[in-house]
Amino acid sequence: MTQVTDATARSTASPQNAEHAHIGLTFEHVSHWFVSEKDAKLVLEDLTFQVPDQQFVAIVGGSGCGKTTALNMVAGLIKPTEGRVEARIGEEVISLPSHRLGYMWARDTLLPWRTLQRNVEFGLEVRGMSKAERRARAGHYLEMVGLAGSERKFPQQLSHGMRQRGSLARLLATEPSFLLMDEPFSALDAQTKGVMQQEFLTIWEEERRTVVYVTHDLTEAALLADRVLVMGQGYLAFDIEIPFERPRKLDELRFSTEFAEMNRYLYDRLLDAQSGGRA
Amino acid sequence: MSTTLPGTAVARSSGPPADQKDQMREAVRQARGRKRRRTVSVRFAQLGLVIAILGSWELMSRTGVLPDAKLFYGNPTGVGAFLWENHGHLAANAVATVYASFLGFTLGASSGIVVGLLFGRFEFLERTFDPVMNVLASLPRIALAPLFLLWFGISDTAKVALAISIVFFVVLFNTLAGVRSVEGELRTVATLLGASSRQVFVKVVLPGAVPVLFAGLRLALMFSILGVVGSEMIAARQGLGLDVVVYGQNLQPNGVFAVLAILATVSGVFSAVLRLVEGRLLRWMPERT
Repeated sequence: MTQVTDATARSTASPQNAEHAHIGLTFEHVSHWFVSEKDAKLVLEDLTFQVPDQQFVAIVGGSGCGKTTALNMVAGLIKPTEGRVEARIGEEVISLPSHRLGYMWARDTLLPWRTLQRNVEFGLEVRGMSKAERRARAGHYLEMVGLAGSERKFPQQLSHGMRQRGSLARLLATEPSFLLMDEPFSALDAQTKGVMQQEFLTIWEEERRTVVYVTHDLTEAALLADRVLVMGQGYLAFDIEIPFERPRKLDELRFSTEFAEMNRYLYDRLLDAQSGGRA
Repeated sequence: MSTTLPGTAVARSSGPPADQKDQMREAVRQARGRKRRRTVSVRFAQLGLVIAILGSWELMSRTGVLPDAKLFYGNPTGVGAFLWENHGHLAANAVATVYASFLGFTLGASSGIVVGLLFGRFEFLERTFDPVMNVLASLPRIALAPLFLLWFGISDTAKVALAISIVFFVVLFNTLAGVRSVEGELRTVATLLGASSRQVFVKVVLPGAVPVLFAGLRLALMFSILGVVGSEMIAARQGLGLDVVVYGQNLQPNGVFAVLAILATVSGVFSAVLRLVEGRLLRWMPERT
């Protein structure tokens, strides 16, 4: 099975019938309560789905629907009250939390006392990679995200967009086989966001890995993902395949009729989900 | 597209790029000049203020507005003369005070940092010691001086012990506050990037605690001098605290002011050194005051 045929096959085949693919992520009857001293709140209710290896899946839903909770379960930051969450890389089951899963946050989380270069090196440094090697690797990824020349700057000296690029470089530098993204570009201005989305997608399309991408932005979900999971309050309402061909040119796709239709469709499903509907 | 789109392009009225670069450089130069001129005029005003205060003090003491100035108020020229005439004696006592303060600061601050970090790392320890620490920290430590004198005699050890008893707690609580000031999110990020809990502590919590820690060290420096001088005022063989009491009792206001001037200089120099170290360590901070 070569990389090329695999990729083409996946861009047309629906993930459900792509039986040759491994399963990258499994949620099995996952329920979760947030317990405080006064009361307990059910945030996830019997969530069950699977994500094939190397699929780009977006989870959308309104605020407080539990999408970030679900993501944090994959990261191993939250243990579900009931049910099972299992991440695999290839055949191997990953014990969570694991540094082989890359996590990217909405908010800028670079360490303010480290230069950009040393921030990108952080994940490599704690793994004991040699100085020369990590310097080279960090340089490579900084260049990839368009930050060559700013290596010695501190985060405070960079614009918000540059800091998010830095975070992306830091994430990619550890070369994770599994990416978890929590609204990574939501705090950026519209133009920077567009550029970052395209850059990220291009990088991903060259070297595919499983992506779970949480966002409240339907347009973003439809632009980037293979598949969109629409959540109602705590439950999975719709599972929608996004058929656009890859590699995608976002500036063209964004203004196409098919995209407008898909966007409309997703919008209606999200409204359905928020009024309690499900597939 | 063949349809006419609404809107017109707006021409920009700008010179050639080279010209713009010159303009930019000129603007930067002018801004720098303005800033420098402002700084220079502030410096002159500051100098003027000091001269005005010292001058009116001198004038009031000489004209008798301050009655019996020689016995109660002194004057700047008198202070200058006193410093000159007693420089040998004052220098020896200043050395004694500075030495004890430095020792008190170093020992108190380093133990405060170590214990603060231990408490920051192991919550159980912190919670166990919390009541004891709070009682000790709320004592007016100067009241411990007789105890230290009893234990260590009229010696340097007694002074240093009092300084440590103040400095230790200031630095301990600031270290703990510094450790707590590091956002949980940064720790989580580091963990997810593969850092062990020890690495998170060393590479995230420790450097993140430095700004708050330094605020504590600046305070601790002042408190260290306070502790030493206080101890010397109660009982000492030498030191500026002893001098200031003796000069006060002998109705030598110029002597008292001379000692105060030395103490102000000492703490100024200490602070400047600390600021230098801090500036080096906190290069990454956006704006420092």
